[in-house]
Order: sequence, then structure tokens, then C-alpha cells
Amino acid sequence: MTDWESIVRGHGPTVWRTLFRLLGRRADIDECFQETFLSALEMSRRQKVVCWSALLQTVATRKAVDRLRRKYRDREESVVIEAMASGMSDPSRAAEEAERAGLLEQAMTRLPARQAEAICLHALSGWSYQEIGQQLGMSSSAVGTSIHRGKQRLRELLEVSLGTEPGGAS
Amino acid sequence: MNENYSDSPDEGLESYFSAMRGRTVPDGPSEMRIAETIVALRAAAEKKPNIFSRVNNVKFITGMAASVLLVAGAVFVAVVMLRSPEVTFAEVVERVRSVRLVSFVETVSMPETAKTVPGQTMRMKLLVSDQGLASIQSDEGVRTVMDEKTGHMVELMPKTKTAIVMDMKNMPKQSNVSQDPLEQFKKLEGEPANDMGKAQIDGRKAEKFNAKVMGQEWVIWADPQTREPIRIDMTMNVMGQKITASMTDFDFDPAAPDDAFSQEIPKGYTVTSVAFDMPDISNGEQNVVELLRGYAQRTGGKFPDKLDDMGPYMKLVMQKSLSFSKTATTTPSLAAMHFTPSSGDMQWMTRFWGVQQFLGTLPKDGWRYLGKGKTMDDKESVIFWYKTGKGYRGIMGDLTATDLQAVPQ
Repeated sequence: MTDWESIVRGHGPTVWRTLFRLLGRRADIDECFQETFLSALEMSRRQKVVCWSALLQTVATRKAVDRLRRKYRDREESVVIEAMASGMSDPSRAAEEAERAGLLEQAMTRLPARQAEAICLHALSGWSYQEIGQQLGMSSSAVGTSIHRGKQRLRELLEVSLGTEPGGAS
Repeated sequence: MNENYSDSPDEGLESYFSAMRGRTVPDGPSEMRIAETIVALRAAAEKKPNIFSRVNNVKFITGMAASVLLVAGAVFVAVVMLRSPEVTFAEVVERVRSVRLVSFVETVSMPETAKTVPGQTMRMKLLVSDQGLASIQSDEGVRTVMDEKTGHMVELMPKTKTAIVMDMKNMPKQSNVSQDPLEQFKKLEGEPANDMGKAQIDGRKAEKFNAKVMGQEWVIWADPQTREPIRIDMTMNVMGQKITASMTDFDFDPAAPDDAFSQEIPKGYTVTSVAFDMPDISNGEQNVVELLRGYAQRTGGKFPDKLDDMGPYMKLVMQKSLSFSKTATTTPSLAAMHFTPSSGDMQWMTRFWGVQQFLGTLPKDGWRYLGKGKTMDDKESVIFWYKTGKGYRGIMGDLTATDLQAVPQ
């Protein structure tokens, strides 16, 4: 019988961090946290779980991406990103970093969900293509291609929003 | 784990990922979130999977919320009673003020559909002491004992031999409207209720009163001989459904067993502990700011038409937290009601009680709410002002507070 208490207590902080890095708001995490574990339970009914940590990080990333997509679903991409960019006159580094994270958050919602998940797992959680492929059911090369295209799209979105190269907005 | 990490020369894009990775993660998850999740997982694991399992599995939150609402209901009784200067009613108030212990039955129903749909009534018996203790026994056997002074609550569910132990941390110590209702009888002053004259209720002669408190309609019948309330009805609209709570069978200073407020958990029960951090509501001005901020955040920047009408606030929480299982007639069933407010929503609603307390400390003409029709974009507009010992304070549309030179018109 699965020891859910150990799983929640053992992996809860990792799930929490994964959700927060992507969502950036505590209220959003609260809603996604329990959903992540319940979804993982449903998945464990269909397949043997080899590594709970990997499964939970994958599901948490998926939940967070879904959450972001819902959040920005009905908004115009350019309007939303420009609105955020206009507040970047704040000289403090912390404010600048927060703005960068917010811009990326929004740009990410313009990618296909699976592509966004792969990029998040790679760039935020530090997973290899092989590890991502195992969790998402893709080949390593397909993961690499998807991430490459996704990053290119992100660059375009961020360039449009800032009128400059990503990273050169400060 | 990251042999492919620097696979392309995209330092510009990397700075954005770096910013996201560098977000300062707050402590978490909370013990309450962990406990909720464990309970939900255990329950879900025992059931065949279905899309409603999550709603069913967090029912203990329903109990918690119901308990809070019931205590709030008792407070409403106190507030209503204290708002009448009528002689007969004042005597009723005086009678209630003198008691140490009161028991009554609360029946919650949906009158518009009760005749056609079964399961439309919930009934529970409450015992409340002037020491801040409350015991709630539902007809379904669930027993809840709350100690409002310590914030410790125990809910026992004999059918499943399950106990929920809840600690509401940072409970305010003094003069909180959500605390000991009998103490509120002795402290509060209010506006008059309307004396509707003599009436018959439950086969008895009575004096009838009505009042509107915090957006809810109240009707009170009192016995002119004993000076005790016979029945109190409160009606509210929840998501378009009219719900009535009737309080009857009042018994003042009844004989109660020694363990009436015992929070001991019987052997063999599975215990789940949760904690709920109460926000600090000692600062009245801050309560107004946070209540309005929460409303604006939930409505795209708008402010409510009224500051002290609970209805619109509850509606926002209910829309997200309340669901009715549909019956064959597609009419919502009270018995199938699931109320699952988030911790954040509960904290926000606590601000409402803080605001009520704050307004109660001000003279009738010592404050004014001006937020109707305004939004957070109206940064230069005063949306609330109140009188202080030295002058006036105002809250602006952007929710900053400032000293005022004169009362805004």
C-alpha cells in the first residue's frame, strides 16, 4: 500500500518549489499543489511509478503550465507583454528580475503545452533530454527539437515585446 | 542531470530563465496544505476513481467551514438582539445577557425547493457557553467542539471513526466579533430592529421583530412573558438559491453534562490535524484595506457597492467554493452541498469580521464608504474615511491610507 504521507512530506517541498518558480504566486500554488498529487495518484493506477520525484515534478510542471495558460488565455499576447514591459523603468535589480520572470511566464503560455513543459523541465529543473523523454514519452531527439523550436519562439515573443534582444532590455 | 543544459548560445534568453529560477520561494507547503493533501489522497486511494472524488475527499473542510459559519450565526443572533431599543426587546436582550449557557436547534433549509426535492434540510443542535465554548451536534452524528479562546477545534465523525483536529492560530484575544457571542450581548450597541407587533409562532403568542444586519434578513419572535426568544430566522441568497436558517428550541442555562465541551478523541479514531493561520485583525484600518483589496482582486479591480454587506463577499467565495450535486430533478440539493473554501478565502472573510468590529467602534456618523462605482484606477478618490481623535483618515482608490484635512463630500 502506498505511503501517501511519506510521499507528500518527502516530495511536497520539491513540488512546492517547482510550482512557485513557474507561477510566482502563492494563491496559484495552493490550488495546484493538491491537484498535482491527486493526478499523480491517478497516473500511478495506470502505470508503475519508478521515480515519484520525477513523476511529481513532471505533473507539477504540467499543472503550472496549464494554470498559466488559463490565466492568460483570453488576453492578447502583445498587449499583455507590452503592459508588463512598460513597468521596467524600475532601476532595482530585484524589480528587473521580477519583470523578466513575468515576461517569460507570459511568453511561455504562447507555446504548445507539451513544448512548454519540456522547456521548463530542461531550463528550470535541469533535466536532460533523455530524462524528459522518459517522462513525456518522447525520444531524446524529439525533445531536443521541441526545445530548440520552443526557445526560438520565446526569443521572438520577447523581442517583439521589448523591441530588442532578450537580455538587452535593462 | 543536465548534460544538455547549455546546448545553445542563448545568453539573452537564459537571463529570463535565470530570473525565473531565482524567484525567492516562500516557506511551504504549510502543514494544513500537507494534511489536506494526505487526507484527499488516502480517501481517493480507497475509492474507484471518478471526477468527483476530490470534492468528496475534502469534505472535512466542509465541516470546518460549517462550524465557523454556525458560530458566526450565533454571533448574528447576538448582534440582532442588541440592535433594538424597544422595551420588550430590550428585556429579551437583558434576559439573554444574564445567561451563562444556551442551547438551541438550528435548521438550515432551502424553502423554495424543500417540498419537491428530498434532502433539503440540515439540522443541528448547538450548546454555547459564555466561556467561548461551542458544541455542535448534527443529525448525521458529526460532533464538533470549538474553543474560541484557544482556537482549538475537534470534529468527530463516528461513522468513519475519523477525527479532525484543527488549530486556528493567532486567534484575536479581545473584542473580536467572531468570538464569544454571549460576551457580545453585553458589549455591543446597535441600531433598532423594527417592532412588527404581536404574532403567533409555533402555537405561542409572541412579539415579532425584523432587522437587516450585514445584508441578511432577520426575523425574531420573542415570548413577552418569559422575555426569551422563541424563534429566529435568517435568510440569505447563495448563488441564486434562498437559504433559511431557523433557530428554535432555545434553552437558557440548561443542565449540561460535565463533558459537554470535551475535546477528547475516543480510542480507535484516525486523527488528522490541520492548522489555519488567522490574520491579525487588530488594526481596523488595515482590515478595511485588505477586505477591499481582496474584493478588487476577485473582480478585476472593482470595489463593492457597500462595505458592510456580507452578501457580495460571500458570493465571490461561494462561486468558487460551493457546489451542489444535482438531483434527478436537476434542482440543487442542500444535503448535497459541498463548501470548500480555500485557506486564502477564509482568511479574507475573517477581514470582514474585523471590519464589522472596527465600524462598531466608530460613531454612526464617524465613517463613510464612498467606493460604489469606483475601481482601483480611481487613485485620487477617497473611497473610505473615518474620524479619529485628531481628525480624519482616508483610504484612497489605490488602497493607500492618508490623513485628511477635511471630510470628502
